[in-house]
Amino acid sequence: MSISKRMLAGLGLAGIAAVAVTSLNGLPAAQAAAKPRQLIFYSAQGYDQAMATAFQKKTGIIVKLDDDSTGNIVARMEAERSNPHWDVAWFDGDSTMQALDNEGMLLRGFVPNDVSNYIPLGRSLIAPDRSYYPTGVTAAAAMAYNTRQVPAKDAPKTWADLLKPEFRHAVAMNDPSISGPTFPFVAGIMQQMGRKNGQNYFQKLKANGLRIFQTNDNTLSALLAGQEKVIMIQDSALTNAKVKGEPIKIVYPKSGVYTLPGVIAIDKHAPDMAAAKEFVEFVLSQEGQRVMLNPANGGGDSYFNPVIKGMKPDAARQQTGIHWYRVNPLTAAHQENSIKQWFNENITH
Amino acid sequence: MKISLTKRPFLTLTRGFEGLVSVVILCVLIVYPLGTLLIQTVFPHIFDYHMSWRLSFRPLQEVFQNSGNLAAVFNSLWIGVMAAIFATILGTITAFGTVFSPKGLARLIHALTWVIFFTPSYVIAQGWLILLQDGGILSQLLNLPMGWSQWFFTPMGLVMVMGLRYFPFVHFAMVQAIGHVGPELIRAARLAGAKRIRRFVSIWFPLLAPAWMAGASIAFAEGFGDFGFAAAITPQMQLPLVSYQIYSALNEAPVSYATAAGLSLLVILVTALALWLQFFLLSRRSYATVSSATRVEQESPRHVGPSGWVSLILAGLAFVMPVGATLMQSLWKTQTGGMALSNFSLDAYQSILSPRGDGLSSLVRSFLYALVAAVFTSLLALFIASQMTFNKTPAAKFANLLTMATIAVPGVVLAAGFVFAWNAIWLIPLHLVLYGTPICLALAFIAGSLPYAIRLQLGAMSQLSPNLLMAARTLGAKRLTVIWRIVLPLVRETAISTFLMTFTGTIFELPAASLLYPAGAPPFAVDIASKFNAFLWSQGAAMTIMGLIVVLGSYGFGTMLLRRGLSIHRQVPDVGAVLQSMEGRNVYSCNECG
Repeated sequence: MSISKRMLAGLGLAGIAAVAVTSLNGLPAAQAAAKPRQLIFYSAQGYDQAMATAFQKKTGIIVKLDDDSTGNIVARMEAERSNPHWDVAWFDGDSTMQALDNEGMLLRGFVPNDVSNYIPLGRSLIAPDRSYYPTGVTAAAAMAYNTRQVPAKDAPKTWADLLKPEFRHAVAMNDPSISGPTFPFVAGIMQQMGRKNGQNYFQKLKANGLRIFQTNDNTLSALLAGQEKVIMIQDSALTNAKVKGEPIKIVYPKSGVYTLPGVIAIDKHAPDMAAAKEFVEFVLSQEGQRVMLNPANGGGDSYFNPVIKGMKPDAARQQTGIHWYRVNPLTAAHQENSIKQWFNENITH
Repeated sequence: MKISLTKRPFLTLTRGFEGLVSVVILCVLIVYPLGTLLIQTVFPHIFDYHMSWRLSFRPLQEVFQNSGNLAAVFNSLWIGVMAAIFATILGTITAFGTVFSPKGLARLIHALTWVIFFTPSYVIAQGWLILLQDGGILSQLLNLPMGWSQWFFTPMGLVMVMGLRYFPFVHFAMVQAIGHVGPELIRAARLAGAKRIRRFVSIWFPLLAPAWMAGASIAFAEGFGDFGFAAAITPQMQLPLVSYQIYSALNEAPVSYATAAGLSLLVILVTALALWLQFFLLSRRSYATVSSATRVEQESPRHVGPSGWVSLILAGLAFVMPVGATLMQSLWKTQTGGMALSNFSLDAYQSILSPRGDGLSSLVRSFLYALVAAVFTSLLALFIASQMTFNKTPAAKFANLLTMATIAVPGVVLAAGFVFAWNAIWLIPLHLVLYGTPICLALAFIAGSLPYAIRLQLGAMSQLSPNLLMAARTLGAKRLTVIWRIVLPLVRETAISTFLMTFTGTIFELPAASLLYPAGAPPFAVDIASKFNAFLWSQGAAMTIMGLIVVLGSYGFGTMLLRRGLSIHRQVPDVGAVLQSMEGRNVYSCNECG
């Protein structure tokens, strides 16, 4: 008899558990009945939770955040493309956003009421068809060296310095097929140097023992562990490591670093279009920017250069001497497949 | 002898119906989602905003024309085979070590093996990486020079850690099989003057063939489709694996679900081929070791032999090294600070457990998901496996095929299928768009563990003698009574095993969680991943450790429940059963049971 009691208890448990999960997460059916306004927000930015909270507090619109890596966010947007659930998407990389725009997934022609707040760099990064807006800019890659391994006098100053024999088997970067910020870097090199010379540069780097890791995380940890002397990754990640007390120095080559804007876009079929527009305007406001720029909110992602008038980057970030080279997102999106495939076949493997 | 409890047409009809229910459940949970993904290999545009049935073979062409893909399949194949061989050697050693050791040590080895079994690959892979990389924990402890661990980032290093991760599959299968061989054969051999080696070659090895082949084939299937290692270690060694290619097809812009589907199809086919090959090899002769004759109980040895010590060291190594490294990492302030006392702190744990941190809420959330998934998975497995065991309808045969084919479907593939399946526009008028709700994620968790759980139950149920059931029927017991009073009590151990397995698996499950979680309510694994993505290594490691503590606690609680009051002869939860069910001999032909 004790067995059947256990079984009954088991069944009871099943029921309780089912109720628990539904009550914890809230069924959409139940929400639909009450109809509070809500914003489904897909984002890969470190400060997205803080922004969601701030916006919800200001407007009363409930923000439901899906925070993940850019790759996962885009994978999810693509998988739901026949019946999209999201209102706003936000991540680093205008060429990736441009590719989604090319598929007709984004709302075009929207003009936020605070668009005049942009500084010229910001204005230059707005999508030609106004399908996405820049929210800040970082360098797709800067150089950083481990100060325990490289004395300051031997530090590299230009991209070409990395081809020197003293950096043989000591330089690493991310895989552009996997790491979001890395494709704009590779595309930038190819746009600035020309496709052929750009490919040449990477091939020479490979001949000098370039190593490719998956993402910022792996590459940075290889530098900190002393496996590599110099790495080329997104500068906000480097600034973050430096602030944490890791022994690294960041170098911005004189020839320029490639723009990697954080970009925000609205779903063409957004379930709550008005809330989505309101959110984008909040992000571009000084109030929103202040939330983003606080490293307590965004960690490494807060070390970006603002593109909104009157905003100053965090003091930890290098303020001057950065020469921006604007990567054309239309060209980059157009060449994305061929560049990634070339890189994959000739450099990564 | 064949089981035939009754031939009355009415019962046949109800049984047919129940069999049908099993198939419907499997279709809803597995076939339909997988189908929506696989169909895109030929109809790549049916899930576009403007749906189109335009036929195109381009995705398949792309899969086979891309040299990287083929190289990846080849790499995965041979690394999977090598890892399976290594796992088989390790698993055989630990299994013999467990059986021929005193009870206490046997339990310890077994518990360690269990923990390795359910610790997710990515946790183990990440742990090895933290431990072995240049400047990692081992090199800081022992002051090793740069480049000392080059060997680790080679295919051989990968084979080694994969073997250490997958040996539990072989271990569980072998422990049970060794138990079945029984001492009488060995004694007979001894009496006939056979030496130890001779006994191993002539008796143990051939009789255990089904067990080690079953263990090895699952180790291969798991290793072939494994994503944890592919994600953590292989990117550092420029060795593309097929699971990684699938992942990058889903994570590269522009995302190509068609390519991912084509590659998945390849993975499913290769896995199915491996399992079929194993069935084919085993079906050529009989390996029956279970007879109805009274058994001489094997007594537990009093002294620990060399095999016991070696097993303990192996199992300890496979668990303590990666998990210890993760623990160390969770206590460090900075990566480069290393072993200095000043670099140790509990900051990471504090920030996670603080009311502002989100680690705790996601852990609670995943705990509930795990509870729900485990309850439903073990109940469904019980129901479906009993259908498959006691009713030989065509539907049950189909269900058997399905669970075999889908046991090794990579999690990320099934998860992507769930998005398409449960967000499809044809569900809108039916109000059945489950995608974006907790229900969808819970269903995905269940679907991910169900094939495994069913195989587990099949193994257990196949051990029930049909005579027992027939006796009950003859004495007038109704069908439900038979199931309730006889079948259930005999397989409840396995039910609890499936429960635990699903529970612990769900807490750390990443691919489905990441693609399917309702916005605003991230599960635990998603939170861990985002900590690592944001360079909060210590926090990520601390969350991993916390999750492991919950999982270990649940395991301990579960085994305690198992031991208390239940008269268990076996020392352990019955995981070996799943492997036994893979051996084929028990599942559909219970001929030798009576």
